[in-house]
Amino acid sequence: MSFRIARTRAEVLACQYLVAEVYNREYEVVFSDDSFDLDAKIEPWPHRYLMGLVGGELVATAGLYLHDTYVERFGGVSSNEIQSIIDGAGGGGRFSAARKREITKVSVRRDQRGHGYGRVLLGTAHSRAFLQVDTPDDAPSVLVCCARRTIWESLWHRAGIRTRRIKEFPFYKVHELYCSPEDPMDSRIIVPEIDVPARWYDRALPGEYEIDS
Amino acid sequence: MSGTTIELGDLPASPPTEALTGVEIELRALELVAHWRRCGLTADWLARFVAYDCAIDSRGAAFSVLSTAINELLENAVKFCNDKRKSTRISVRHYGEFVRIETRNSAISPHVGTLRTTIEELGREPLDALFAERMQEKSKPGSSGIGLLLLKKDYGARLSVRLTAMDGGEWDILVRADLDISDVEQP
Repeated sequence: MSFRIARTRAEVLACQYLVAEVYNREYEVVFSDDSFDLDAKIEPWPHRYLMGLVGGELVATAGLYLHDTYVERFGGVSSNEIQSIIDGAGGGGRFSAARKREITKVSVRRDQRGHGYGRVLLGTAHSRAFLQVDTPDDAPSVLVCCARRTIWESLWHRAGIRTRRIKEFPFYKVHELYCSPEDPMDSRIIVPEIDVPARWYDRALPGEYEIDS
Repeated sequence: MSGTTIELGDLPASPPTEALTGVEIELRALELVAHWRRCGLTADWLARFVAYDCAIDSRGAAFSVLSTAINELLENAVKFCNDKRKSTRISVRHYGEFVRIETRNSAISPHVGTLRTTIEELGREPLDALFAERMQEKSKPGSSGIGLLLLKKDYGARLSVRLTAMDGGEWDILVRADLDISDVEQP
């Protein structure tokens, strides 16, 4: 499986259509890049995309918010809450709540599921090459994410990535088909150099990697 | 089952053989899901195009009513379209005495059931009471059908659907809204 950051307009569109197809079918979500309304199920597009290709064909993608993260806009999370977790993790000198990004909309084509593409794509999305794109070396961003409990377990934790819980995510209509009281959604922080194993964080992009399915 | 056709809703107006003005557009639902504002953009363009048939001093009102109605039907068609890569059609035709808006898409059973229930309720329940009920239920999961209700309640739209069973559990869905020109020009 090969990975690269979507650079051309055609590559970005291909990623957006893959995300739109998956998220609309499964959660009835629609998208916009200039407006959002979580009660009307309209979500904002990410700013960057990681492409996962097999045989030259796009089979999976993950988005990245470079600013205005979903967690800060809709999660009711304050900078103080984020900073205290960063400090508690031992990342206080290097990371700041003021610099955060968010991995989002991890999507695998429906006809390509069951091969382990999602987990390896998620791990690769935690690479410095994707996560810290265009950031100075001495001012890296911390990662915030929101997901439901079973997704943290099946994707993040199985990939060996540690997550630090901030708080439960408020309920919006857009999440009615995503989470439930039995499988609640919460916001979490990942402090890259502390929580992400080197095998993911140091992964080079673009690159081609074997998949253990 | 395949080929079975079910007609529901208000009795549609009887059109003369030919529309005075008519436009039909074919879109892929996925293109609208990816940029939801394209629904409003399409509705605005179609409404403005057809509103030129109205008297100059009524065009603003006609545009507003038609844009609202077209947008509602188009958004529903896109949302309920089963395969987002398949085409969804929307047409707007001006027959002099009324304007007909039609959408056509394919859907699967759960969505067909929701649409059926909505249309049947609109024909059975007092609209004001139904509106109050829908507003209270807005936060509950699923489609509220409130947009179609408002078209009927506020603009007097006659709503009807034709459901045709296809192979593989899919349904071909035609949704039709007929709006009297008096309701279009003087809302």
